[in-house]
Amino acid sequence: MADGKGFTCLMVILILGNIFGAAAGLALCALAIWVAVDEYKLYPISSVSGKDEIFAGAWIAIFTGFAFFCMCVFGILAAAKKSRALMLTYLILMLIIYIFECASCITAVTHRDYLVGNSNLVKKQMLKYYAADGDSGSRITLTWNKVMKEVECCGTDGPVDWIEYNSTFREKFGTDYPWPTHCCKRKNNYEVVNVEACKNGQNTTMFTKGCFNHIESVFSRYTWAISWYGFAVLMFMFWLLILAMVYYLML
Amino acid sequence: MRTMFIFFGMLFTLSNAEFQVSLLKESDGVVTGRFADSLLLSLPPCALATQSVTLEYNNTDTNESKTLVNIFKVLPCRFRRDIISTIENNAQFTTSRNLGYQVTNLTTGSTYRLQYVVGAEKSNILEVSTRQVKDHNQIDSGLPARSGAMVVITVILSVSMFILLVALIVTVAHSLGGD
Repeated sequence: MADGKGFTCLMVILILGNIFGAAAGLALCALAIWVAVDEYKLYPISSVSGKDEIFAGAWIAIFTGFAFFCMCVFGILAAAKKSRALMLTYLILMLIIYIFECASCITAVTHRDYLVGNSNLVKKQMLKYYAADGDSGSRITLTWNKVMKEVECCGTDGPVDWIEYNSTFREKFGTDYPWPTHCCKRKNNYEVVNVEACKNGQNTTMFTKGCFNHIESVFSRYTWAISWYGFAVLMFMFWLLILAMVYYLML
Repeated sequence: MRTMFIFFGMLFTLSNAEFQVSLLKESDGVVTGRFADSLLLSLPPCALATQSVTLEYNNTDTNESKTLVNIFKVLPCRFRRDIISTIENNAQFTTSRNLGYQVTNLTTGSTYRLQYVVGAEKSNILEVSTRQVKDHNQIDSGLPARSGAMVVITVILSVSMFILLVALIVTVAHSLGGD
């Protein structure tokens, strides 16, 4: 039932759309790999609380991104061959991949709200696990030491967190050091500039800003990569699939 | 005659006026002046230089008093050019700036009344409490609020999924029915 000009036009649009979709799917795969690699090494903060679904969303997006790429290449073939069976296969498989990708986007953005909606969860985790024994304790301690050193910050909202609440750190080391020595400024040879001044809280010898801003911005960056870019790809694929269904009906 | 005596009496008390003591704040260069078991107090004015300082304090909850005698000598006034503080520590010298006095061994969450006594002069009575340490297990780490992004993404994606599913079913049905 080839109609001529309108039909050919639709076929060309579909082929071009699938080329673009293949590129977008591959980009999604690459972006999701970037998130899964976690260059900022903040994964323990999400995993210890059991809220690592941002990374689960990233893993799903790696596979769906690549699957979109493969299916779009297949779609080019199906459209060019004007075959009903192939187009139907294309439509059904694309819908399945679409649903999985939706799951990835929704999961990532919802769990970002749990994790960094406000600073309470990160603060509670820091106070409970920093300097604690066990696997969780050591991972959290190493992560926080790294963040405090690189970002030059102390505590979640500020150093006051360490004296406002009790913590595993305080139970272990007493009140002589109100906060960990990683909050203190260090010289290039890693020696603390002035330990006594740091213990008293002098601004010039320690870091006074909180680490939550950095942690929140990293997790938000990962989430926006997975959920908003995934959303954009899905919106494009939505219209592509509608067009493909129209094309299928015309075949 | 009596008014003259009262007048001179007033002058005498004015000249023996209290000096101020306060808790150190962020503007003084520290993170906080109130810890759980210690407090950071400002120093007596440098006009009272070289005199020895005594601190008297009283825990208003348990009504215990304590006096720390001759804890330090008031430091002399410095010229304005020394306001830049450096903590340089090399083999030759150390430069430092003095901010305040730390009163230690206090109980958590108690109110204290503190007063310096320098020679014949007394400071005002500072009433301040140490920090009450809260339990970190009491922090509510539940879901704070759903962000706009989450609502938008969830709603739009769910609707689009539904539309696609319905459209596919209609397409297949139509093509099967049409044949």
